[in-house]
Parts: sequence; structure tokens; C-alpha cells
Amino acid sequence: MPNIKLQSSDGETFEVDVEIAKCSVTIKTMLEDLGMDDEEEEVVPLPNVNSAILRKVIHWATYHKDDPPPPEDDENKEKRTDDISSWDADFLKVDQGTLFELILAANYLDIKGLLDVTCKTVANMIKGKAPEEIRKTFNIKNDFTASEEEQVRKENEWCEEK
Amino acid sequence: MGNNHNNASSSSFESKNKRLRSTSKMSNSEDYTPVEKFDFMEPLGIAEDDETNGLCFNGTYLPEEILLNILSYIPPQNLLALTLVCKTWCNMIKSEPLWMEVHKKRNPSSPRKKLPWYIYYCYHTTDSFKNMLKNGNGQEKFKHWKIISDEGDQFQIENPPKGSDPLPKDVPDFNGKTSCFVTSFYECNKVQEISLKEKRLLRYILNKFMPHIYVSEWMAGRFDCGCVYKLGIRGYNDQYYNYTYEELQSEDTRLRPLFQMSKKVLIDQWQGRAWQKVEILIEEYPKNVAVLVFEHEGQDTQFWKGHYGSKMSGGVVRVVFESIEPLGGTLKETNLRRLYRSDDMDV
Repeated sequence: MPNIKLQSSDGETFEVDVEIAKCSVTIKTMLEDLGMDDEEEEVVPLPNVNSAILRKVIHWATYHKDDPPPPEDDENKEKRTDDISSWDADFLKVDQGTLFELILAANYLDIKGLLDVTCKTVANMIKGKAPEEIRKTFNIKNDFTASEEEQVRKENEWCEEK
Repeated sequence: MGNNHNNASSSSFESKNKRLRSTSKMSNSEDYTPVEKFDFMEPLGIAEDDETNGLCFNGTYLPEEILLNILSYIPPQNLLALTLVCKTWCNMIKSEPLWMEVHKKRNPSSPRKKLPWYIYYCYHTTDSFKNMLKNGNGQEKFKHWKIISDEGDQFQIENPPKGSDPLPKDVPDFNGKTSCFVTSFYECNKVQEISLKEKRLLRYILNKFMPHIYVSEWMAGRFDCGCVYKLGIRGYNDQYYNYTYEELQSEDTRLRPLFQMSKKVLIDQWQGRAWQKVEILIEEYPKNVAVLVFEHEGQDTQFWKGHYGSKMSGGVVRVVFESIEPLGGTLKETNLRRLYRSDDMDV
């Protein structure tokens, strides 16, 4: 398998199997568009991903390289938030900053599997928490005026079926 | 024999009426805006210097589409509580794109249409779009049902059905149950009242968008005996609770249903063993529907002692937006669809 070189924002290069790199739709498209299929010593610059995150992304992609491709608009009936594999769960035992950087990298590199599993992980951090706890967890400001908050609360109650 | 039947029927009427009165005392704790006056709030204005609040997670800014993706994994019934986190979350949770994503993640094959967020909310957090009828197979005996007439050898529950095919497999209407109700040699009729009193949001949606009201049930006869079957649906406004069921049924009743529709099936001897689905679609109705009354009735046509009358099971009453989930072709091809208005009804 030919390798290609990926360069992180802080200048580090990583040599990766082309097939693994292509799990990123962004890289795949880039290679196709630029005709970089040959064994030239091309380096793909990834200005939005630093080396620590890129290392993690490559680690993830290497582990998942034999996964069946994600079905387009899949027929998985119910998508669940608790169906994270134990390998992924271990892989995502990272600090919040790294988790969000991974989300941004997965979004930029267009790696659906990684984006889904990281978003599910954040959803799991939100589930079961009260608004105040959520604000504290993510450092979000309560920007409601008292009357706005009351209005929202009332509308929510009105919508709920007893 | 005939006298006995009459007596049985009138005494059962009285006891039913008492029951109706006692259940009609609904909790009247409505300090909520009435459905007719309610309107949803506009998105909240966000100050320019606060635009990234709610999108910055401990300093890392995530684009809106990512927050939307994250929230779409939260169970739908827990989403409204999250509106109180901040304005950005509130505006997103009370908007269509999030709910279309929520819907898509749970019903990948159904088409997505732009409908207000609260319709999807109602769809995913209540039984209104699935089935509001309870105990449709008799798995809990006659719980939730009011027996109006119980003649011959009375209603019974059969598990599995006797003298007919078993209930069709893999039909969601049966909830995995194998039982049915069976009628006798004189009229057996019962109803189930579905109160929309606590379903404010559903009533708002009915008033504003008039989605279809869909009613169906499976029926069969025995292989050896002819029978008749009737399926009916009526809708009332909230004055329904001021009357007994007998008053509502009488000729000079003051409260007419807002709409009503029924369908009869006559099965000849030797023809009845297969189960068939009977469907009614209400496409148009006046505002302020507060109660739906599901009714079914049956008996055999040969007056055979025992339970040779029609069998029924798997009743469904639900609201349908065809733009969310198109109904199958069967209803469209038959001549079932008729429009009912309060002013040209025969009661």
C-alpha cells in the first residue's frame, strides 16, 4: 500500500497508508482533484489540525480502517446515543478540550464515523444534567432576562403532556 | 328470552352512565393559556457580543451545525428542558432544522417536510401519532372500555381467536398480542373515550393544521357463521363532559358530535375466517375537538348460542400528517374518504 504524507498545522508530517487517509472525505477529494494518486513525494497540508489531534485522528482511522463504509442515509432504525463501542469509549477518554478539537477535526476532515461518535459522547455529557449543570460544565453564560426565562419555562410546560 | 335481553341492556346502561359521570370529573387545574389563545414565541434576540455564547464549549467554538448534531442525539422528550441553558440553545431547540434531524435519525426512510418544530416534538414524545387507543386486543380484559350493549352471551376475549385464522403476524397494530374481542348473537357494542383534555399541544395542532384523524381495526368472523361488524369514530368539543353517554346517544340530544363516521362490514356464512383491516380517515373537521370516541359493534347473523359474532382486535386511533408519513394506497382507492362538517351531518 502506498503511503502519503499529512502535515499538521504545526509542521509535523505523518506518513499514512493512503487507504486509511481516505476515510477522510476531505483528503480523498483532495487526492482525486489534484491527481495526487501516484507515488510522488507529495505532502498534504492540513492547516486546521494540530499534530496532537492529527495523531489521534490517524490512530482512530487506523483502528477503524476495515469498518464497512457508513451507509448513505442509513437504514439503522433507531440511532442511539449509548451504542459507542468500548474501544471508542476508551479512545475518547480525553479532556474536554481534546474532545472538542477532535470534533472540529472530524468535521473539517469529513470523517462521519468519528464525528458521530464524538458528538454522541458530548450528548452523553449533556444527558441527565440540569441546565445549570450544563452551563457549568461547558462554561456557558445564562443570557436570559428573568422575563424571557419565565416565558420559555411557561411555553415548555404548556407543550408537555401530563 | 327477549325480555331478559332488554332488562340486561337497560341495567347495564344505568351502571355505565354512573361510571361515565364519575370519570367525567376531570382535573380542572387550567392555569394554562387556553389552546385557542395560545401562540408560540418568536426566536429570542441575541446581542451581537453574545453571539457565540452557547456555541463556545469551555472556549472552543463549535459551529451551529455541530451543536445541532449533538442535540439530535438527546432523547426527544428531554430536549425542551435544555432550552433553559441559554438563548442560542433555546432558539435551536425551538426550530425546525433540529427536529428534522431528530426525525431523520429515527425514521430514516420517511420523507422530511418543513413543519413547525412542535409537530415533530408531539410526534416523538406522545402517543398521538402512534396510537391513542388503549387495550385494543383485550389483553387487559375490558379496561379502558365502556360497554354499551352486551347482549346474547356478551362480549368475550379469545386468545387465540376461535374458529378464525390467528391474528396476522408482524402487524404493529397488535403490539405482539394474539387475543381479540368476540361478539355474540345479539348486539354487542362498546366504546373508548380518548380525552384530549391534557393534550394541549395536540389540540393546538388539530385546530391549526387539521391533520387527518385515522382510525382502523382488524375484524374477522368464524369460518362457520355469518356476522356483522361496525367501526365508528365521533369527535366532540369539551361540552361532552357535561352529558351522560345515554344523553349523547338520544335522538333529541343537544350536543351533536363535531364529526362522525362509521363503516359496516357484513360477512356471509363460510366467508369470515380471514382477518381484514377496516379503516376510516377523517380529513376535515371543525375546531376544538376535545374528545374522540372510538366505537365498535358486532353480532352474528344466525343467532347461534355462544360467541359466533364478529371478532375485533388491534384498534388504532392516531393523527396523521401525510407530509410526514404518507398513508398506504388502500384508503385512497376505496370510497371511504368523505368530508364531514358539523352543519351537514345526520345524527
